Amino acid sequence: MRTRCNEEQVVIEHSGRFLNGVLYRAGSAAKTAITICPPIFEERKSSHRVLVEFARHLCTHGITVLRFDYAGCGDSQGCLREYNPTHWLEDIGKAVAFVRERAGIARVGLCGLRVGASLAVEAVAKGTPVDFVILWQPVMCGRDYLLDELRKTLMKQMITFGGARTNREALVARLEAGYSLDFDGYPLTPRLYQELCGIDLYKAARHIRCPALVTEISHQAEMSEAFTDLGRALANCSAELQAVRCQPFWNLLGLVQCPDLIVKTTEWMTARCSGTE
Amino acid sequence: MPQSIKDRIKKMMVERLFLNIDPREIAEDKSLIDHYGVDSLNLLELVVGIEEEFGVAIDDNEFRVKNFETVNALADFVKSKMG
Repeated sequence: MRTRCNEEQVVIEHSGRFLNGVLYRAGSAAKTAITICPPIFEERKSSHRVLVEFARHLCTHGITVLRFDYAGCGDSQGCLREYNPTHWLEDIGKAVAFVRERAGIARVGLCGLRVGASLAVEAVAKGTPVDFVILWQPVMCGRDYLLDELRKTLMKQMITFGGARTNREALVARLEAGYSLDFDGYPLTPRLYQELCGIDLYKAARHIRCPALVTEISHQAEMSEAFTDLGRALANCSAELQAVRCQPFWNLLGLVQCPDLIVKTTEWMTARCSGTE
Repeated sequence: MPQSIKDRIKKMMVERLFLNIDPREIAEDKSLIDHYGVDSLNLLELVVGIEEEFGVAIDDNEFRVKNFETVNALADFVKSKMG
């Protein structure tokens, strides 16, 4: 049954931080809520539309949703150079508590995309109490992720200047020497670099005990080896893995439609929400 | 019959970039950037696709427009990488 969706801009205040969010209220009958952990850098911007559509879709299916930005990101207060994953893990914990209290819903889950998915797992592994986690194309290894992001920087140089003007080794050396990099318009500080390099999803996944849905999003309908390995790392919980053929919308400009991804994720959630209090 | 390098590149482009076109319709001498809308964001998909499809590693100093300009250029580049 479709329910009416009521959208409300909210501010989550904690530790002197003001996090911007939007709460999608599914009505008084809602028994389940979800907090969305967005990606960072340009991926946050590129994925915005899909995450909004996902939130609205869930809401019309009776699930209350909170979208929010980490400190120093998106519409939240502060500059990115002042914050790092240590703060964002606290933000996730506060966002989960906020939706529980504000919406009056006990059963709350997390859904993360890319780095957001990795942070969601880390937050749960460190004690954020949630009832389930949904991971969309999570970053498995922070260092590999950053090297890919640096590769994109080189590709931009190639398109602008005809060729890359530096290489990743030199960029990493600058970071490790204590200098910040301009990362597609975002400041990548040595601290942020170090903390992102510390992301090890396989390690954190072993601490997850709640139900989990892991979705690989790519041009293929088959699961890759990296995701099969993640499934094994999630052996302590009832994890379900699925592959969805969809454009990497977090990497693209313009409007991307992801109906399969949204519908399949909603089905997984509603199957776990129906008939329970 | 084994596919040519150009055919494999075109098939990979259609799959990875979700192009709504038959791979055979991709012009081998047309600019990937100007004609097929390849930009710095989806170029990574193309680069990873080439590495996986042909089992080669593309070095940072090989990010030159001349290597990625057209299907013909990409095929020559891949051939040079494969020795």
